Amino acid sequence: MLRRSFLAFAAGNGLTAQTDGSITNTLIGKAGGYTSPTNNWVGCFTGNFTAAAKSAATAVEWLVANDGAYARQAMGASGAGWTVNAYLSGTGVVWTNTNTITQPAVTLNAQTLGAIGLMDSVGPTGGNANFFIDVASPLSVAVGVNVILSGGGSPGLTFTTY
Amino acid sequence: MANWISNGADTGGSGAYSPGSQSVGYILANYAVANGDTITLPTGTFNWSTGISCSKSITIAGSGYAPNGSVGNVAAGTPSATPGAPSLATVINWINTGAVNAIACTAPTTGNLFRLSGISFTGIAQNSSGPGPGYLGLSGSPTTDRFRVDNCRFDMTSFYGTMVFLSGNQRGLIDHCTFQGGVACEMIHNSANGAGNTAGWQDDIIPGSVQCVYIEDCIGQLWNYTTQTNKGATALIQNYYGARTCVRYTLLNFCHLDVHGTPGSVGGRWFEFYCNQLYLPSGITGNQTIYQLRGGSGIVFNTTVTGPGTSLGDTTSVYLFTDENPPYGSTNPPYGPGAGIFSGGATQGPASSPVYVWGNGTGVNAASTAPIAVNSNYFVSTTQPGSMTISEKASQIPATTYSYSPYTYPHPDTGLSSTPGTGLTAQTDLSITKTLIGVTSGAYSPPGNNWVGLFSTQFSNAAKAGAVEWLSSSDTTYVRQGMGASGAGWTISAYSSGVGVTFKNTNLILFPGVASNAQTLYSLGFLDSGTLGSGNINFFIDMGNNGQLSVSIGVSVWLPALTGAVFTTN
Repeated sequence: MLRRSFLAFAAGNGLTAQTDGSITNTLIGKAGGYTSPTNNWVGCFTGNFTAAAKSAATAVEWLVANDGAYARQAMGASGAGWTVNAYLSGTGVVWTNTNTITQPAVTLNAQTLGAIGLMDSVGPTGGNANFFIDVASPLSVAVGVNVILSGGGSPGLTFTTY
Repeated sequence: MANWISNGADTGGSGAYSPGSQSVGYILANYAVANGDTITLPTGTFNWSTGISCSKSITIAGSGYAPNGSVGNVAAGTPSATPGAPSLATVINWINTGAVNAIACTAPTTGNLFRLSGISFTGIAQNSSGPGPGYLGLSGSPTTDRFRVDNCRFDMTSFYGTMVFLSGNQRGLIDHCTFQGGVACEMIHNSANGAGNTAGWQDDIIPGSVQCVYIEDCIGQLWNYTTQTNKGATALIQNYYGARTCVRYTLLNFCHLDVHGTPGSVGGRWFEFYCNQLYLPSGITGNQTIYQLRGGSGIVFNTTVTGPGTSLGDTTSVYLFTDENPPYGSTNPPYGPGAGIFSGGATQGPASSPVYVWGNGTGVNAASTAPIAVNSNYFVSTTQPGSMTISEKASQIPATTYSYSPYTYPHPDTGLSSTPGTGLTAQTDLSITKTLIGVTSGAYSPPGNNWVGLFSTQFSNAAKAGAVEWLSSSDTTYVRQGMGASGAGWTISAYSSGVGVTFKNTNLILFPGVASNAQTLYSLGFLDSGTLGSGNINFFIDMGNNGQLSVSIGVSVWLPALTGAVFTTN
């Protein structure tokens, strides 16, 4: 009688599989729900999380041992750093990074940027990837080059909850 | 906006009131009512002995569903009152038995809509002598303003006649209305261009377009239909003289749809009948057709039949025959069924634009009487043919092929969403976003329990909000059903690659049988409170295809375990 319903993020861009599970628990009030991050840290990943796996383990985060300057970049405590728009009919709630986010210039070895992950800890390893954006065609990041996510009117991170 | 402050003595049109009565007729005659204005009628039952005439595209609206408009929402297009359902609180009892309508409107051309909404009409609409004036008369042309009649009830009880009379091939919409009449009642009479006028056969027809009079989400029923055995000629609508009509998503309680041919005159021109359901009582002995097609052309599909008659093997038919005076094919234009455009004084022949019938359910048969023949005047198939023959435009003479697509549903003039939604409500979209990024103010609050609620309107895919919940004042047994504390009641599957996390109701969810008034089920909401009128709706499911269910007294809504409500987080 009733249809399947989707709590929608586009595949390959949205919640990780882990967050799919925890946020579901939160929605229905079950233990094991999602823990809201105290801050959101932006991490760089070599590969894609992929639409199927939606996993940080699949994507593999950059390592300090390989890029001596690598560090997750904090966006701000308690959701600061995000601009959350009101619900828009037929679109949903769009949320974007407010400010420009700049990674230190790569040192030691050139890197490949396959995805951006939004983490709940400063790292540089560990913690949880809550949501992510895959880069359709992974980018080569040469030594001395910064990964920059612009803010403001052309935000580097745009998500929609719908 | 003109608010009618009733003194309880309104008797209808001009001459039957004093200035102090503030009747509809008085407002029309004495106020500067402009196109686009609304006249709002109060709650009450009024005996009208004289009708009103209107030549402006205005809205005449009743006070909504009882009590005091608190049940249902006319503005939001609450589905119509099924028998015994929440009643409309503004009642016009039409006691005039002469040849005049209670409300008559001649359409101007202003770009506005004439709308009649939320009024219950009772009384003997006319003198039971056949088609003619009744409760409502609408006239215009294909180029004048359109009309919308919604959330009204037209009830002649056991009498027969016409309740709504349409003329001029004016375009319009009748939705979420209930019609009831006696045997042989022509509840809606679409006279189109009038007897003998071939204008309605000479213009172009565009299938699946706004050209038709649309009747959707309505109920047509024969009085005492559950115990009748012969419906005779009882019809929700009869189409004449070049009429073009679409009837869809409508319940026919032992009555049918008719495309007329009238010997010596011209028949109806075009019809689109689909996704309708016929109720058959047990032991029928007479006419059992659902679509009686005796002229014009069109399409018929996805028709189903229900009721106790089906268990006895009773069936219904899409029945095609001709009303032409013999010899067949001698009339200009020919009736068909299956006839195309009449152009330049030339006919394309009685089978130039065949009728297509497909995908009808078990117990719905296609049949015809000679000389009307299958694979000539009409074709029958299980699915829509990939290519169909048509000759309904001058440019299509002698014939061409086309692929049919239905007009937008719901009709755009309803203002309802054409895309039902499911998932998070708009409110939850925002709160869960805050939870995801760690904003504390306004973040999502996990529910202590999940309560399932029933709603009479849809949330819609766009708004994801605004549905109207059932009320205990309307259904005294209605209560939200708790699924269990702390997420109990949900079965959550592990993340599945390419699918996501699926969660579904573990157990049967059973609502009490509806007690006091029949209800309409349009959507389900999952709330964080068990108290009616309180709490937040966290997520929802609209019924698919904009379909709503009528839930009669004594009937329970229930969601089967593991399949009733299935969501996926991905």
